[in-house]
Amino acid sequence: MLKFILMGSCMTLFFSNWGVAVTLLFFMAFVFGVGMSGFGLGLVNLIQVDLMSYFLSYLSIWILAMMIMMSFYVKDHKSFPEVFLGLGVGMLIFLLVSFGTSDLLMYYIAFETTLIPIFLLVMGWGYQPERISASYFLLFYTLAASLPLLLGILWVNFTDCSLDYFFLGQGAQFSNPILFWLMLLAFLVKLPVYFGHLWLPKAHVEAPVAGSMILAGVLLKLGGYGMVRVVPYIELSLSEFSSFLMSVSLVGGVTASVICIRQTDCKSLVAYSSVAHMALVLLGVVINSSVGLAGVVTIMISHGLCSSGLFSLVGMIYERMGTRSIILIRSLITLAPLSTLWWFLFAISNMAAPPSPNLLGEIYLFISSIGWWGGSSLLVGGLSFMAGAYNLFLFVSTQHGTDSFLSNSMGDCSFREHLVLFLHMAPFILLFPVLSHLFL
Amino acid sequence: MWLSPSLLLMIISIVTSICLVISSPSLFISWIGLELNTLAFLPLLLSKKSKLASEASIKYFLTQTLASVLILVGGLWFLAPWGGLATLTLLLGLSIKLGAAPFHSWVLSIAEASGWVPLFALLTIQKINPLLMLWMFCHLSMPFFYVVVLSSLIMGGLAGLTQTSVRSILTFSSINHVGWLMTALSFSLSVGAYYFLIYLTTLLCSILIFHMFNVSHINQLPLLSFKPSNQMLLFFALLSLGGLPPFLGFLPKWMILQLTVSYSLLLVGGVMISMSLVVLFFYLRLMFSAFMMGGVNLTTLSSDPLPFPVYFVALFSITGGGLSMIYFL
Repeated sequence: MLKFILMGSCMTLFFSNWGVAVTLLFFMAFVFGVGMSGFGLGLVNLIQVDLMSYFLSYLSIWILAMMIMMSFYVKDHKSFPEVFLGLGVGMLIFLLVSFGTSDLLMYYIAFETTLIPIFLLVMGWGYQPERISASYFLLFYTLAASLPLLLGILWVNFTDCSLDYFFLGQGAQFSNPILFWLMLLAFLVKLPVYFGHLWLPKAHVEAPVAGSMILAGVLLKLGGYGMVRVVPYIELSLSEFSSFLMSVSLVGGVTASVICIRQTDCKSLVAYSSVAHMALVLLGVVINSSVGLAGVVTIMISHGLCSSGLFSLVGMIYERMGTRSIILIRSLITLAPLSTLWWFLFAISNMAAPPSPNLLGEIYLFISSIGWWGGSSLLVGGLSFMAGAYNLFLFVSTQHGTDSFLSNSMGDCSFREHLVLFLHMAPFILLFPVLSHLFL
Repeated sequence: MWLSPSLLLMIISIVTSICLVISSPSLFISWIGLELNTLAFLPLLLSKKSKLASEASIKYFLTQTLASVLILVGGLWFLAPWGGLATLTLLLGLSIKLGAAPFHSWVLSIAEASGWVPLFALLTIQKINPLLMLWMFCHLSMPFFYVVVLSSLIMGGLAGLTQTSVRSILTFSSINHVGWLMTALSFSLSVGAYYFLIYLTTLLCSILIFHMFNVSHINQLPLLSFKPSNQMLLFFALLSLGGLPPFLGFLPKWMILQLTVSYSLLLVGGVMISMSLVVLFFYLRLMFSAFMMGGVNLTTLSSDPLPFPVYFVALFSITGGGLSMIYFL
């Protein structure tokens, strides 16, 4: 893992050349993938990689390459391309640190650090003046919840004398409700679970396409990953609060999907769909069984690729038409027929249709939640139905319908955009057999 | 003007007074050090010729004298039958000297009137003496000490929100830092010294930048055509001062929070955490006005490259935390 972190640091030398940067990222991803052959649980010098952190690190390298390829307009418009690339690579380094480290405090530090690049991306390259308040929301929601986490981590450190994952759950078992909320709140907001989610649609709407891609693709997963890591410390109180958290997750997920379907902004629709998907992650973590955990990892990875792909599609349309309104974007099938295929593929992947690993994750999580309480099948079913509904709504209202007066001079996807979408979709489909093989 | 013989004398006197307080075996000698310090700092305040500055120096003189009297009386009361009041009086005097929260008003009016270098000295070097005496005589177990710490933390955070002058913002942030410093000192001298040194470095970085661009009000910031690299520098310097994790400013805060948790001072820890969020908020407001220069482009205001020492200090203040993080990798 350290070599990848160092490799990322070396990339800072190539700020001026985007082509070299993307090539290097793919090289990193390639080496990372090859490294899987000799792959077990590596624990070397406080750098730990297990299956979950391996996949999430891989995902962050991949999404970063996609995000740079998707924002060549930054380079063309000369809006500080070096700073942009620097922020992206800086974020990658700290993401790798946070997924790779075996120390909870180090994870916390890297977790906080990734806020600064995303904050600057939203504020610096966003679209409307409202990006100021959006970036404030982004920073202060997450900070307000995660500063108490520092207190919680230090509390555990004081009691256990170690924060290494190697000793995870082997020290004192805490049943203190204050510690429970200190440890969990940051991740609930970061995930975000419904009630702590208000910053997310705002940030997504104002963020540039690259910011949305990395935010939905990787940064939200920091929350899920962190939760899985801290749960062994607080298992005793978890059983006490599990009913509450399950209710928040299920009801919140359904509410988020209902809100999702009445959005008029494509981007905020996709953003709310992330809130609905992340509710499932919380569900898996709270159930705390091996099937639940497999579902958490599968959902996180597949949602990362899928929502990042959807955001890049929305970004493409926004670059061409200057709007993201569902009312104005219509009948794209007549104007950009090739992109319609991508819209279709990503929409059905987001609703967990068969070839996507989303389905796998949902099956894992539905099994475990219905096993927890039969009545939850109603809410879980609602979640699944609404996912189908809002994705169909997104697809149909953008691709079909009468001609929009706005879109008489729009080109189809360029080669670069096709490549980006392909590189989202291909690993996504290929992951289905890999993930189903790995976790069961 | 800077190294005129008289000013050099004053600077040497300040250093001497610090040495005196550090090494004195008795409270009386320490008190002499404090007095010497007050007298030597006055000409520094007056180095900027304005009515406001002379008013500020008078205010400084009066408050410091009051504080000195309290410290002297407190010291003498150690021998009196009502000796229990001695540490309380001493703490009162020292809190006035430090500019800790219920007694902080004088710092603001002086900060507004002084130049950047005297302000830096006021916020850092002038605090060494009272902090040392505080370490010797007072502790967090005293209820009044507790009150001063909490009110410094809260006042420094909340009252800073109302300010638009850069000097006032830095002053309120320093009031907040005094709360942290007092807590640190009641744990141990080395933690306090560590916190103080890092606070000095991070403050130096941002004050140097404000000094170079001569910014004293928040709405001057958008008019400066900063280069993006300088903007980043100021942004990171302020985040470091606010104590966000990857930067140097986070390290001492982490240490102190660990200690507060170990001593189960959860109230102080919680107030520290929530107030550092508020402090970060007003630093960021400062930053937003510097970032939003896109619309305004006054080429008449030059954006000279910053001198080398600024980059050096900034580099240390920003990457110091990252370097120490390598320890964990």
